[in-house]
Amino acid sequence: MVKSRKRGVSPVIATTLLIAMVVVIGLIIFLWFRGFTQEAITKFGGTNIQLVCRDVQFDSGYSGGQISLVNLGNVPIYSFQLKIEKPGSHDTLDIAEISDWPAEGLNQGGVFSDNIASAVSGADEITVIPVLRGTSKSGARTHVCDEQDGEVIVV
Amino acid sequence: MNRKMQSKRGVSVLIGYILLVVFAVIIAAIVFAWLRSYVPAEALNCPEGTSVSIQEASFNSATNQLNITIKNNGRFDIAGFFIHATNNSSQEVETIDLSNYSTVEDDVFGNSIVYEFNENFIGSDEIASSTFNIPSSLGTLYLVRIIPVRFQIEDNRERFVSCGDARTERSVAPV
Repeated sequence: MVKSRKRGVSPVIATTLLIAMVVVIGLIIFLWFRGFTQEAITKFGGTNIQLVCRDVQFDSGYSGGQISLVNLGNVPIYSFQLKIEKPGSHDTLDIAEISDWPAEGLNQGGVFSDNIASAVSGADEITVIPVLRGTSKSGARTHVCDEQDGEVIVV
Repeated sequence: MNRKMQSKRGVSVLIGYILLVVFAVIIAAIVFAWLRSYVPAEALNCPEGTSVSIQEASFNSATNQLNITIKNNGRFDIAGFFIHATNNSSQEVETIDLSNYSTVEDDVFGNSIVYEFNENFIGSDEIASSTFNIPSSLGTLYLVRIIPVRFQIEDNRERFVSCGDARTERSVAPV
C-alpha cells in the first residue's frame, strides 16, 4: 500500500506533461524573441527589402542650394532620407519634409530637383539614403536602406 | 517486479523517434519561413555588354529644337532611352526630363523614348535619331544624358528594364 502511493503519475502522463511544458516554454521564448527581431519587409514577390536596397541605382548632386536626384535603376525609390552633417552635429530629415517631393516617389528614369538651401545651410556633407516601400504581414511599410546603400554629397 | 520494470518504460522508442522527427520538421519549417526572404534573387538588370553612344546632340536656337543621334555600340538590341538634360552649367546631374518634348508623340512611352512598343528596335551597330521641341522657358541646354532601355522576358513576363550601367552623357553643341 505504501509502495503504490510513492509511484505518482504514470510515465506516459509524465512524458506527455514534459513534452507539453517544453512546447509551452518554447512558444513563450519564441514569442518573446520575435519582439526583438524586425518584421520582414519584402518587395518584388518575396525578396527581403534589405537585399533590394543593394540593387538601387541613383545619381545625386547638390549645387547652388539645389538637390538633384535621378533613379538610374529598376527599383522604384519611394523617398530619400538626408543625413545632414554639420560641424559637431548631424540632422536626419526626410526629403518630403523640406521639398516638393512627389508622393509616388521616383520610378525608373525618374528625376527630381528642388531647392533645399535653408535646410542644409552650414552643412559639410549630405548623405542621401534611399527609402523603399515594401509589404509585410501588417501591410505596406517603408524601409530606410543602410547608410552604405546611400551616396555622400560634399557640399 | 515485472510490473515495476514495465511502468518505467514510458513512451515506446518508435513514438519517441516520431516525436523527434516531428519536432525537427516543425523547427526546420519555422527557420525556412524566416530565412526564405533573405535568399538573394537575381536583380532586374540589362545584360552586360549593353552600350550606347551619343553621336550627335545639337541644339538649334532658331527653331528651339534639340537633335539627338545615338548609336547602339553594344552586343544587345535596345528599345529606346531615357533622356535628361541640364540648363545650368554648374549642375552635374541632369534632371530635366526631355521625353515629353519629343516631336513624335508615338515614341513617348511613360518618361522614355521607345521606337516600337514591346520591341528592342535598335539593333547592334544601328543608329537612331530623335528631335525634341524645347520650350524657351528651359533656356540653354548644356549636358544631355541617355539611359538605354530594353524589353526583357523575366520570369515569363515581359519587363521594361532601365540600363543604368550603360548611361552616357554629352555636351549639347549649339548650331
